[in-house]
Amino acid sequence: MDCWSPTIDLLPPSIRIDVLLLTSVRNAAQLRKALMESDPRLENIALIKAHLIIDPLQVHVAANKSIMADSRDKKNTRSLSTEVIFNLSSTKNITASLQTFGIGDDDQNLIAVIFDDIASISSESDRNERKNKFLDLVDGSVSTNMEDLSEITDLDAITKAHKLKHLAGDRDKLTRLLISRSAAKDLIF
Amino acid sequence: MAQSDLTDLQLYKQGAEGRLFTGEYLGQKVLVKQRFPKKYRHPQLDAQLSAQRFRGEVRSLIRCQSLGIRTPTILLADLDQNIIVMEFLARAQTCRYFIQTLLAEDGSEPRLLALAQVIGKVLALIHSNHIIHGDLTTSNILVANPGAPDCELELVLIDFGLGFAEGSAEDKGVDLYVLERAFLSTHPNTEAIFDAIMKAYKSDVPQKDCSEILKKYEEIRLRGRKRTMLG
Repeated sequence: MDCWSPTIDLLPPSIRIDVLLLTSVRNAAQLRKALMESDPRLENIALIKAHLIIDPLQVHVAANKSIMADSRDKKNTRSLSTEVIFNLSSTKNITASLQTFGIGDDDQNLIAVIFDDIASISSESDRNERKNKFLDLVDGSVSTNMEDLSEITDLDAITKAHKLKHLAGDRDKLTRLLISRSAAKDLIF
Repeated sequence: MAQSDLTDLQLYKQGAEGRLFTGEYLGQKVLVKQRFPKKYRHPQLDAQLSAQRFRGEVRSLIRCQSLGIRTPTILLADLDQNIIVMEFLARAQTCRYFIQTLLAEDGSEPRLLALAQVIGKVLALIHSNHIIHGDLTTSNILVANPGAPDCELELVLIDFGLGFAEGSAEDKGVDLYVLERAFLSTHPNTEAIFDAIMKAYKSDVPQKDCSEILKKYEEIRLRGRKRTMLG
């Protein structure tokens, strides 16, 4: 037919992410302060209020969207870690997104997204070392089993944060909508 | 460890406007829709038009979801490459197939009428919110749960490639007309079912808009989908 062939490049292969669930965190205020002071141990790590996340897939979708924007220099915010939080929200207002979905002083449950640029952190052991340095800062428990999130998710708070009270009764519909919104953040708000 | 790549891409359908692939993304089975650049159009015009269509498609898909109507979940929408990665609905059936199967069975009328009722209601809901689908056919309406009892049938609207928000009464009339033509040519002798769709539609669309939409719809039926350009 014609010679146009599809090339689908979803992501630059050089960035990998880790998503962790942190529970019973007792030092959120300290973590937030370290974040504000650009502590190098928190570089390119997003700390997100876990109770406002309806499904781990939403975080992955938002993270990939951020990595893609970053690779094209089209981010809306300054860093990968703020961009992922921005992509999780339902507003164009960056400050409001960070305040609503980013770590707060009293948070006990957090989702951490660790972005690793494998051009500079190439080996698996270096990545682990970085992760452990970060985890040393956290006074709480770590889980890689994201299924635990379903018990932390607060549907009322989510419908309020996204102004979607009318969908409060249908978790599946709400989940699908929020994932779609994160995936198309730049096109719909 | 997050797996961020799109893998296992396979051509699923080749259309005139684009291609559909199946694949896997973030552990989900997905459908990837990619539109071609149209070479016969001026590149700048083509870029502008396809960006406009792309936004229209993504926005109407998501607006439907906020109304509680099922459309495929979007996992990635990338304007630069003109691709949408969305949920693959493995269990859904096209309305076309669903209706054809029922038509071949005896005593299936109540179920067909139940389906007509749901279709009418869903269209009324999207039109009440000024969303236009643009290409309503029984292949673009899926039944999410083809095995469910009559009163629980749930639809999924797909392919909003010609869709947009903020439609006028004229656009809604065209939407209905396109459905009528597609419906009756795909499924001959089903006027009664289409009437049932219209009846459900009329009872759910806000009264003040209804008469105007129906007036436009009747006009369009007489003249065809395009406005006359004479004079």
